[in-house]
Amino acid sequence: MSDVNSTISIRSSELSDPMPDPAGPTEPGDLNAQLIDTDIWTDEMVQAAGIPIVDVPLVSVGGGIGSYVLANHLRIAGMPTSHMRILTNLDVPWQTYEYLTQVSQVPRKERLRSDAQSMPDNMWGFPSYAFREAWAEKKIGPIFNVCTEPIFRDYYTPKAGQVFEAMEREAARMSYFDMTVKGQVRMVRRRYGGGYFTILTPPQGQSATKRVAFRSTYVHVSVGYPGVKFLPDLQEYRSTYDDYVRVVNAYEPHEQVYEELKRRPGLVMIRGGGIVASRVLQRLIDDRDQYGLQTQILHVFRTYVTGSHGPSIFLRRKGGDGWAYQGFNWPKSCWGGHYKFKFEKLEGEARRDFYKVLDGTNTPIRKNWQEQLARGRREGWYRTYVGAVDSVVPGAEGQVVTKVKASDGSLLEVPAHFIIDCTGLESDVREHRLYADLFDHSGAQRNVLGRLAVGRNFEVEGTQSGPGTMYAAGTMTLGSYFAGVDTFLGLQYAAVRIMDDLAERGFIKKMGPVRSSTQWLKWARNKELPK
Amino acid sequence: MTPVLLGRIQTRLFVLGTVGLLWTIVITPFLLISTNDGLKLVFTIDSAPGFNPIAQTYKLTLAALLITAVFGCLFWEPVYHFLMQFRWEKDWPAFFHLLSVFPECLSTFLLLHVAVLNPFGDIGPDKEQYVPVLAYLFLFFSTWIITWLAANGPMKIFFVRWRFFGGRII
Repeated sequence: MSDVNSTISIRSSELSDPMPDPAGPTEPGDLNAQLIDTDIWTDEMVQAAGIPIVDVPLVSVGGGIGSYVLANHLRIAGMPTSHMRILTNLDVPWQTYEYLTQVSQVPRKERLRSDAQSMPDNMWGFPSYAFREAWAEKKIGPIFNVCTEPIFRDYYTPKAGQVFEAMEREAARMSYFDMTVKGQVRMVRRRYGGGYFTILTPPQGQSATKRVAFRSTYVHVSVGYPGVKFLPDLQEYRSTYDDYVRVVNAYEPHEQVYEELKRRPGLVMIRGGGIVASRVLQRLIDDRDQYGLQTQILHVFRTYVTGSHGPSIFLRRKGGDGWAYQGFNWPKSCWGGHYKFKFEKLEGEARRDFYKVLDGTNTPIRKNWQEQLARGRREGWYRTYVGAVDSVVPGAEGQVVTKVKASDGSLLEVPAHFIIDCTGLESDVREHRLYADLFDHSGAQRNVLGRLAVGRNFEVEGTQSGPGTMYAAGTMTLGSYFAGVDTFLGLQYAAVRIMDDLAERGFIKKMGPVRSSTQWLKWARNKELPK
Repeated sequence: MTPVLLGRIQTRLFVLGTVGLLWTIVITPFLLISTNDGLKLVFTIDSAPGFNPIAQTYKLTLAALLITAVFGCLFWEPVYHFLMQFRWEKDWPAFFHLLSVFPECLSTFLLLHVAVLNPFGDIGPDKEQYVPVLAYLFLFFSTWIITWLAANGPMKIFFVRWRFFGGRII
């Protein structure tokens, strides 16, 4: 796991600064050995190291969509900007998300895989993106769509650009950028006497000291993915043969593949059966149609789904042609219905087993994808293979040969000019140094899926510090009491729970129907929130 | 929506008790009833000794609202909840909610004719009274659509946690 080459950086987790010299700090205000080795810090220890201390009640680490959504909820609940600092290396909260969606073939004009009411810029989820699109473009289609989905129409999903633009508007309304502080967060440690220290490394030249300590009662950790991992066989091929051109990951820039295919006909192998595979296939076929290309597509499924599948008639997911079909990345009730309540009640093994029942790679049914693949099968330029990949080796004429082991044990050699890994395997939570430090020094624990254990209010279990509480939201908390963590709506849910928990602790007032509706009117009129 | 049973019941009672009730109160005097002089708006029908058309119609429309609320909670919501169990997502699309206007319109209409169930008691085959069909259809469908719209939108403005809480308000 320590091989940094096995992880694709997605920029949110750049580990730029080296470990401090154990002999002592070389720059003013740096971490020293005593601080690094001590789990709970006193104010004096930090002062003795010459690290300046900034006091603020709440610190959010990450500055991506998770931090944005929490800030939005708290600002609407009445929190002044001076009570929260968002420590981030991003210029805008949607930066990492936009980067990932763009390279995985969802540019701003394309649609995300997200429900109409999953709105990072609107805590109420009303009016939904469908209504706003209908309103802005003066057409009824999106409204008709949400009223009849998923029976007559595919699920409505917003365009990526619509979401980013709406977030930009709301960021200005809540004075989001007044709360951000640029830099890389190195660690969060508990403070003797309660609360936490969050150590920030500001960009070079922007601070008199190498580090700055933020002393806060509450900390919110929402740093996203540590990185995306390659399939092991593809990783082995890449490092053995030093070939980073023919074997690519869908989450890294790979435009050269599409460009090369425009220059000469080629064979492309797709690995994976999720949404990204669907998107990459659409791009390949769109290019094929638009430029009259002769691209041949070979698709390897590890598990080939032939139809509806599941353990009982009450638990059957649709599927076919290799794919498992599902509108969103979890069954819908995981965000606020039957399954959400069920997950909240389950502990330990039972919870892990239930995750297994609902888990599994899947993709939404979309009419244009169905049409494209049906055409490909009919005309013979889209072929599927089933089995486990044994190895990947160089072949003749610049090709890469994949050896696929079928269930009967036979080995099939499939040559291709390019392999696109669309599996999107996520790296271990420890790959992110901040999480590793939480496990090693702050009492954080792993949950049943090996990620960060959080409670029902998203408090990081084991990290209590006096009256202080640490919260976490986002993909690294999967495996706790809420499944849909890695989604807009999941981040909104986490924000509501954290907001309510903070209200109980007296940080803000609890939001009731009156404040909620008057604030909604202000949102609708785009009235700036008081700072 | 992704309701749980208790959420279904609470949401039904809430929307019928607020916008449903308000709409019923507002629209009742303007319903079209067939009389000996042809179709007339309720408030234009002349009163007779012991017969106040507006009061009489309110009795009927409010009874319809009450029956829809109570019978819905006791019968229809458990049925929908059961049917939902066959869905992988355990969700209840807005379209299903809209379509249920048909069975519920029928069940309420029939129940209005059961004297025992009708709290206002003047209706029944033996009383030579009947429920005016056109007015009833208009009232039921319009109320249903208004409450459906409320449940699928503005509800969330007042209750931030409602959509994450299986449709439960408390």
